[in-house]
Amino acid sequence: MIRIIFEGVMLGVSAGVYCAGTCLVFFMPYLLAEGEQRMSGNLKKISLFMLGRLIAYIGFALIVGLVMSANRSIFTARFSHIALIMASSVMLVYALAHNFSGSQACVSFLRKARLMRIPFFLGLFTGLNPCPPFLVGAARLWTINDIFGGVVLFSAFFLGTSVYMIPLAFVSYLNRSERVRRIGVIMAMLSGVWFLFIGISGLIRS
Amino acid sequence: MARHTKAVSAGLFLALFIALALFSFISAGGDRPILFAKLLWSLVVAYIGLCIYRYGAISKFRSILFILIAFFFFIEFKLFRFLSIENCVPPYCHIAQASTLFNFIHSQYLALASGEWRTWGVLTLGFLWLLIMFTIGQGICSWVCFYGGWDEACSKLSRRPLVRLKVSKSWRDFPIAFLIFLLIISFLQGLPFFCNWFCPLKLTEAFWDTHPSIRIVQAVLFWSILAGLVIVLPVLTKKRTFCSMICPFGALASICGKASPYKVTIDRHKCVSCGKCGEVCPVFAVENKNPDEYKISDFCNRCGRCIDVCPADAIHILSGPAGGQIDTRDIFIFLALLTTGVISGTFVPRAMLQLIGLK
Repeated sequence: MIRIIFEGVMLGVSAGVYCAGTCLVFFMPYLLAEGEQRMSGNLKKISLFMLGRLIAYIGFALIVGLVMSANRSIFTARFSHIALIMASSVMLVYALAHNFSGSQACVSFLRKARLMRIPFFLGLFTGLNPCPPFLVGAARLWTINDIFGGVVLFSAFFLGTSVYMIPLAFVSYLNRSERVRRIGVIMAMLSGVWFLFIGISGLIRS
Repeated sequence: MARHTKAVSAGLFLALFIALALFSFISAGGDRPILFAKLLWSLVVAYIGLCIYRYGAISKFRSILFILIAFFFFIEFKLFRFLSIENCVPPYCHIAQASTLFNFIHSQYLALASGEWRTWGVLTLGFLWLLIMFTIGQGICSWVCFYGGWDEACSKLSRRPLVRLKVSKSWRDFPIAFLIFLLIISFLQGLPFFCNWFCPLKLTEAFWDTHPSIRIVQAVLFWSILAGLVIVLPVLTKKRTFCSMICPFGALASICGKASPYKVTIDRHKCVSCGKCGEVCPVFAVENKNPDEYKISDFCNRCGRCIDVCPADAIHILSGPAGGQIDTRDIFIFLALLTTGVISGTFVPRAMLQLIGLK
């Protein structure tokens, strides 16, 4: 078991820069636009995002463990692309709602959706997206053949990759300017559109 | 009269100096025809400088040079397949450089770490662009950039704007958001993401995907950006829409260009708030906080158009700390012309010879 924990952490640390890159494209624009100017305020949002990722990883390991007999390659590819479509849709809805916040419908949507919940869903769906480290982790998961072992591997993997999320806490120093927040919203929109396209084209290809 | 004669003499002296300095920079290598072509190009650049100094209109003459460079660039690098030009060296694309800056920094690190100094030497061309940005700043986009001349040329086709295009602050910041997005995605993919998907100036299918339906999306993006932002919108609005609304290099230059000491500044005491500067600015770089207060933003390309049209002579190129600024217009023009001449001197003389069939 210690070996699996070590493997997961090392996998996360070694490949995590790409993982952080993928997650950052989603979460950084959100934090720039919606984050608070105090670090403590942002930590809550980051924690929700991380919680979403953790649940995504553990959930993935559990589901894979339970349905090992299913067609693995189709399961991984389709599943991760659908997750990517979900994450980008959340991002797009957020960015569009933010951009058109002058309209009554958007104001009521923002109130109902309570933006604080969005980091959790962003974390949940980006946690499942087909970035290279995630796929390496998934490949290792097939060979473990043990539900509990898989959960431990992905929890450790989460810890390893989380190291690269630490800089997010300092975004609070950037988003004090209205201009930076504006740029954050545009980036959120761009990321949403791009990853939606990647998700859909991935589904078409797979 | 004496003052005019003095100005013309100073202009002549500076033009001669530009010609000599430029020729000494670009003359190395090549046979006799290419040497003559280089000399001719040095004289053309110097003559443009003389016209600017003599007539005082920066943008008019700058624009001629700028469009000429874009034309020769098109001949040399984009039409080489059709004109059967041999041994064409691909251009060093600064727009691709901007959008893959993280990849570039990473490759610099790898080259240094491996001890492969030759690789490092080639890649340091990127630092040349940075150096230019630290000197003439975003002036690079209106003087040196061999792509910018394309939409500048299109924007000259109509006599007056057929459509008045107003761009909000959010949309003016779009290139910066786009640049950050490109930097991250390009680094993640290890590919020039902008070139693959958006660049309307590549005129090649080399970057297109192998999957037929993805190629269709790329083709639609490519043709719509080319037709919309490089041709149609500039013709209709007389604005450089590609440069101001999408170009990642322009965004990078607006950030790095802050280091340049040459700033286009509006003198609030002289300004009569006519708004002409905002009307003619091709890159939406004039902001008016309120109807009486105009300000030049970081997106200013130092093209000089606002300086030329200002009826109150309130706009100048200044350097130095607030309160103690001095007019450095002539120094800026000299540097901008020299830089333009050196960069364009690497391909224009050859393209000139190719046009007349000597190469």
